[in-house]
Amino acid sequence: MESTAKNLYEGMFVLPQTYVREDQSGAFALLSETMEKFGAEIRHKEIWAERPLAYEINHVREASYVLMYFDASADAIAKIERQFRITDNVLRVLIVNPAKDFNLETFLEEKAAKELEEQKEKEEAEKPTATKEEVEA
Amino acid sequence: MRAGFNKRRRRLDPILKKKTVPYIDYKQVRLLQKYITPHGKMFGAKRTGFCNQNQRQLMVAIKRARFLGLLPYIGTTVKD
Repeated sequence: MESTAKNLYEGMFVLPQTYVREDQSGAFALLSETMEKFGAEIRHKEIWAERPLAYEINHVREASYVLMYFDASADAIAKIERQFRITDNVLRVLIVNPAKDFNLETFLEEKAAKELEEQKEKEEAEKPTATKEEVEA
Repeated sequence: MRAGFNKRRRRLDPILKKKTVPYIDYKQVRLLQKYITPHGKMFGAKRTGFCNQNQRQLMVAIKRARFLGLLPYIGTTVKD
């Protein structure tokens, strides 16, 4: 295989929750700058979850999980992992191949559809209360 | 071997049966929590009823989740 060929990878980054809450754009910038330094193209990034860690890492108990999909050459993966291992505020990095039948486009479409539904549900939940108030008024 | 000893049929793989999950992923923490003991040890294939392929996926997923602090290596599971 050519070393210049780029493949799709899935990356999960564990950051301290306090750090991400204070400066979310800064945290994203830290991640994406490092990735781009090694020639990775970020296709999608999101905060996947904010949850307590199962065990303490570097005296941190609560973490934010940043999920990222990106294109990178196979050689770059080791370099990216190495770089993040010595970066402050990055507790853990896991870069894996996505599942066999994974398709980024369908993943994004499904995600957008879900968000739309959630928004609709929210609006619907808010609507009846508003009408009640109107009725009372 | 005693008669009838080998006749007990193996349960069908629960994941294959339902087809709800196409791939056992480290991000499905709720699912993974079903397959570890309160101390954090994985269940064997005999207990889970998984086929070899799914059991391997489960193993990889649990190990990845442990590395990321989603599941414990040892001790009680974290409640959401």
